[in-house]
Amino acid sequence: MRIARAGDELHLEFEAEEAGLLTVLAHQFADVVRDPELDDAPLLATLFPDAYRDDAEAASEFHRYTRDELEQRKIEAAEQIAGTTHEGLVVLDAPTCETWVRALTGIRTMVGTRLGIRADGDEPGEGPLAEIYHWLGELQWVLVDALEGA
Amino acid sequence: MAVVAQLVERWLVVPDVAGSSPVGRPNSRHGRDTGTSGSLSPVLDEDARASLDMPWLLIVWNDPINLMNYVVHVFRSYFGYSREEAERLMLLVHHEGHAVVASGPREEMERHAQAMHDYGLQATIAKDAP
Repeated sequence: MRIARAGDELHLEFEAEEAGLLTVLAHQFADVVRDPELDDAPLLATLFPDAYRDDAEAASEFHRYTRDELEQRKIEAAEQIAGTTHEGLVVLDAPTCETWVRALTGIRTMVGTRLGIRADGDEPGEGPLAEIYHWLGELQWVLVDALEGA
Repeated sequence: MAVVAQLVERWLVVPDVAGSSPVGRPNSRHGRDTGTSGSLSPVLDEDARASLDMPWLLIVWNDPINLMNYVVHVFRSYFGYSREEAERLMLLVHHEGHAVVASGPREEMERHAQAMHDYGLQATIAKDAP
């Protein structure tokens, strides 16, 4: 992966393997949010946390009012990554980059949860999935820096 | 696939330094003038009035996934905080485990909480700071 800034745009150069991986993960994320299985409960609890810690009724009402819209936006953001990623040059304008960094948080949460990262101090360990987790973090870090003009 | 580990600064473990500094709190806790306090005052004692005036708090919690620069970016771009203030709040979350990042009417704090969940941050609403 190579990254260069060109004015307000960001130029990402993906290897075929990287583009394929990112696309698959984005689709997986959208699928999990759309149609979760029982195993996905810890991930969903992180993606859609209780807004009230000491008031179950208020927390449940908040979910009732916000969950559909949150799900929709998370799905759309992930699908935007899937729809714009391909091997070679990918050009992101600032609004698209904003959506990417938001979606990458969700995708990293999905991968991190699979790696057992639930609390501070949990390490991703080693192996292909841990490498993917690091790579996603690197990508998000660089995109955020670009948005911040760092 | 190249992995440049040093670029990736996870939002890491922080030693317990509870109590070492107060939680930051926007300064709108008192003195919101709704224009109605005069008409309420005859029927409410001091405690009840203080409770009505007390705004709700939006609290963002530390988590093991989000990157430090992303949290600063969210605080800057969503709340419009200066870079200094956004970094101060991010470090509070980092070191204390949480920070109060906004305060005001309940409905407004709920909108903020939804936005934080949209960004993937752990946010809650409460009357009192944790």
